Amino acid sequence: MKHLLEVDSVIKRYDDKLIVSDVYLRCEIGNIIGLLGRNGSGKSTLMKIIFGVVHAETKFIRIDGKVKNKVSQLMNEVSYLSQDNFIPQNLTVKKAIDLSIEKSVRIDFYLDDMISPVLNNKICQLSGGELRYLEIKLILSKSSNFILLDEPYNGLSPIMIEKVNDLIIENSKNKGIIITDHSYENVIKISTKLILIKEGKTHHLKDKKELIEKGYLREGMI
Amino acid sequence: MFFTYMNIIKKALNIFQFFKATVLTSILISLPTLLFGDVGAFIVVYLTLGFVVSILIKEINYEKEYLFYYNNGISKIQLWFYSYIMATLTALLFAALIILIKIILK
Repeated sequence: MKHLLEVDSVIKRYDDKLIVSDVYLRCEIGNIIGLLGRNGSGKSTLMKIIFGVVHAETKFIRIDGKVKNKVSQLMNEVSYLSQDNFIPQNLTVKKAIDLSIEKSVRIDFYLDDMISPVLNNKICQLSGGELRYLEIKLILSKSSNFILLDEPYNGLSPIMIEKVNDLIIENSKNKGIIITDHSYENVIKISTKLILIKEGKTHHLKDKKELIEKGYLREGMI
Repeated sequence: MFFTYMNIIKKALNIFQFFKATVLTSILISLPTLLFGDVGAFIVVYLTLGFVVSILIKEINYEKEYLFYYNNGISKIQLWFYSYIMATLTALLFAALIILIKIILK
């Protein structure tokens, strides 16, 4: 079954400064939407608004045509990887997996060569890369239809980035994924659609070369 | 039906985890009342000031951890509400234990 997440009419100000003002975003199962934009352009704020953890003056989030604006309505349908680490530090890796993931999927975690050596470690004992990889895999393994990934590549080594890209592509077969990161090469590589946020507005790009025309990248950067 | 049941258990375990992370603070705040031998005051402080302060500490120092529970399908209000119920149940158990000890010692 096809599912659809639509976001529009989002307005958000910080101290009278308009951060997001004219947004339309449509994500279907199978889409990987790459959200690009300069620092402070409102990418992360938009992700938080979609998930419901940041309040917006106005917003319309629709899932399969039904308006769902509250975090309590969205949390079973949308999963969100924040920029910051979010797993409670006192948990062990195994406990965090058991509390988050259906039993049938856990074996995939226990056998993962990045996770199995640290399975009994506490979250606070993991390196930044190990923790980020665990968080991404946990979020992607949720049963929700839509996934928001805010700066997933933070602190990951090149090999881990490749693994994460494979995971995102694999999971996009039955999920809609929205990803934002300053590692634009990786975002461009895996995305099926690109959106640039500039001056609070979303620009739907037909070609990655538009990133240069719209001033996000310089000539030769692609 | 089975999956719904499993989902409820998973949510309950998440809430218990949250409760475990707050209960030590609540106990530490209420502990001075026990020094005066007043079990009633201990329970009252544990269920009021102790609980509120432990939640405030979570809010200020560990706010990001709420995202873990949101992603597991549990809202902040649900965490607070069910944690308070768990705190009340532990307080009742503690009170029952004290009464039992007093009866045995008589």
